[in-house]
Amino acid sequence: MIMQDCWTIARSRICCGLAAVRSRRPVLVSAVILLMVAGLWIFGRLFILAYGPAMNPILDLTVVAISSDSEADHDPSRARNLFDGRPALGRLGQAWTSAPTPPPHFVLIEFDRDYPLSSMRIYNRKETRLDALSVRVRGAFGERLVFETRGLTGIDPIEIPLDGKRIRSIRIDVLANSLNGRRRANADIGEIDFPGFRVRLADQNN
Amino acid sequence: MQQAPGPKLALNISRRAFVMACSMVIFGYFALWLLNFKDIYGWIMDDGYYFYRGTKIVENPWKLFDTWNYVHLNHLIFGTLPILLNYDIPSLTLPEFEARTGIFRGFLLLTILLHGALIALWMIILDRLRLNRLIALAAFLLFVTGPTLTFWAPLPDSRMLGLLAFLPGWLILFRLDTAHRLAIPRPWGRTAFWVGVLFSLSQSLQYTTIYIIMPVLFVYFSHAMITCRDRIGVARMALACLAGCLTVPLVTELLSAAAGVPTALGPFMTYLERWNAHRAFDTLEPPRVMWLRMFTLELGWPLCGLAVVGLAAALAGSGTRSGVDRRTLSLLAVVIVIGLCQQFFSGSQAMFRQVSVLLPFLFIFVAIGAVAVASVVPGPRARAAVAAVILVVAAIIPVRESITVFRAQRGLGEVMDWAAAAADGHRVRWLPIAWFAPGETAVRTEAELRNLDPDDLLITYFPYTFLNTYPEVEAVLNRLPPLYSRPTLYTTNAMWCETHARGSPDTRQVPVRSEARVYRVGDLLEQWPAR
Repeated sequence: MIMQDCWTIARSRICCGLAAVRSRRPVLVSAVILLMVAGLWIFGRLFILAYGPAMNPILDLTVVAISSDSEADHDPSRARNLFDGRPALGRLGQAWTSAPTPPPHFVLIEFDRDYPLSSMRIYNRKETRLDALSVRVRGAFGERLVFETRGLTGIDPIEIPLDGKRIRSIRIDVLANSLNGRRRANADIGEIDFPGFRVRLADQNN
Repeated sequence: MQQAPGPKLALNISRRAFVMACSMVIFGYFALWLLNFKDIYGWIMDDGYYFYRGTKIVENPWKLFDTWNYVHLNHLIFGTLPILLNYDIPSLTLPEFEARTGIFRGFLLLTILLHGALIALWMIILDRLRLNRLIALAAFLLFVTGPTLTFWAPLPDSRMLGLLAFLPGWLILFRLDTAHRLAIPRPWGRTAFWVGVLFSLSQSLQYTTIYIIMPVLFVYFSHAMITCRDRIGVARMALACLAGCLTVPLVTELLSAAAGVPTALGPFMTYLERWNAHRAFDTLEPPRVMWLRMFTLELGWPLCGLAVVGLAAALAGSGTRSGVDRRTLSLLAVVIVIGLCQQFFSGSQAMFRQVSVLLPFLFIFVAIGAVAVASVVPGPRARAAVAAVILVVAAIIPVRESITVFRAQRGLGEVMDWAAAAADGHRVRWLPIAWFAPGETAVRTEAELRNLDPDDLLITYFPYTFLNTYPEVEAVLNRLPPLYSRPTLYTTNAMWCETHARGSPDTRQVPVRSEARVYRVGDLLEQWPAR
């Protein structure tokens, strides 16, 4: 009974509504269509406006920690210089230089999450050359040696293919380093970058 | 409304709670797609053809009646709106569309919005049906989280889009049917005519709504003829509805003739041609076997079983626990059964998209089936809890498939993002995507490939035709680990369900053809010695 009453009320309301719409149907239908199109246009503009910055193909990569065998707060050559955006200049405070102890020396770079890195480039300082080094990466796949060589020379950056592996941390071991052709106890690296990524240091490293 | 006697599902929720829950789901749908839109680049198959059609129509509206002279409303409205509204979404470049990739993706964006509108409309329909709202909510969730919607949500050739006009028509017919039964005096002929017009509009949006329009008209009017004393009145209504159904086809036929298109290529003949073109291949397994496989792949055995139980319960008249009146439910069950049988035994190619217009209704019976199975448990609350558990378990397979499909939707975009980020000054080139004319960024021949800079990056996405031309490249790509790869729609069961009956090879286990991949050109050429 209650349902029947509800239905009767609903029916009369629908009928009233339909009658009202019918009386001004062409105007109402046109207005609704115009409103819908205008709404879609506004949505499109807003979406494109909000969406533009998201399409930057250069992705941010956050380094949460960098450590090496010669880190000290007062050290102007600490490892955070590896990501200062100034490769190969070699001035004090713009590159990483290890302690003057016999090699090997290491740098450990940790990210905030896994990144699909295609490659990594290691830049020499202006006067120094990395003669032997190895690179290990760690991710969900475990730890893997991806690069090991001896006898590197030249000013060109050393490109290490990482094949899009999702990597959480990278450890670079410098086994031999030279300054003007002579062996040197310290290890030096001017800069490191990851093609396609803009490196951002987390606050604790800035 | 008349309610049949018998126990009902003890638990229910208020209308407000139902609307709130559904609105949250709709919000979630929009949030999910819009936030991930960065990586949505479509299927690049029929969506591409629909896009090209839209661009042609904007240039010359008479092109609406060009080749593939059907689904005019879809091409006219959905195909041209993104261009007219300048939906030029910031995008990386697809080789098929080059500078127009942004507009193509605007097309996909509009389709996502339209499917959102469809979900909202379905919520209203479920509300008006006066089902038990828990059952209605379960049916709603099953539809929204199902793999079919996830697959078609950004694709403009989605067969579900026809429901946008069909559902209001069906709701009016449902109201009209109820009113007629209650013998409320009213001139229903005109309303029946407009129902027909809405049905014909829905068919002009996507022709596959015919698979639900036909059973609905047949069941509702034949039942009215049998049960009503005023048979002449019913016959008038049926004729008025039929006249409405013919309006849009007649108008398009006339306009097509006015555009100078020969009758043999007119809309009606195009439908017939489509019908013939979609005849099942004798070389493949029979369509009914394929349908069973597809239903179990997309929805899983448990859900299909529940649908059968729910349909049987409704046909037997014991689906009253759902809250809706017995007659309406039984009629709806007959409609769905006829709609499914039509597909199973018609001899047409089994493509899952053809039943996508039936699925929202089918999910109502899945929920009813769960309640029917749970009715063996004593106690109303325990019964409701068991029904909920049954539904959750049954939904595991489709939801898992849906997640796989959603990840696959993003696959191509993720690969493009990665390649753009990793290119570092080098060019990003493509192997041609099958069936489309390669754009400037795609390599067409072996010679072109060999002339590329070794440090260029090469993206492959369904390079079907290129690999068929150069089988040795496929062997190389099989050996060579890609720099980066992501699964695409071609790796999913949902894609198999849409393409297998067309004779397309099963690419799910062929990563080179089904994944989007990035290679370094130099690596590829090293492994591919010159002939």
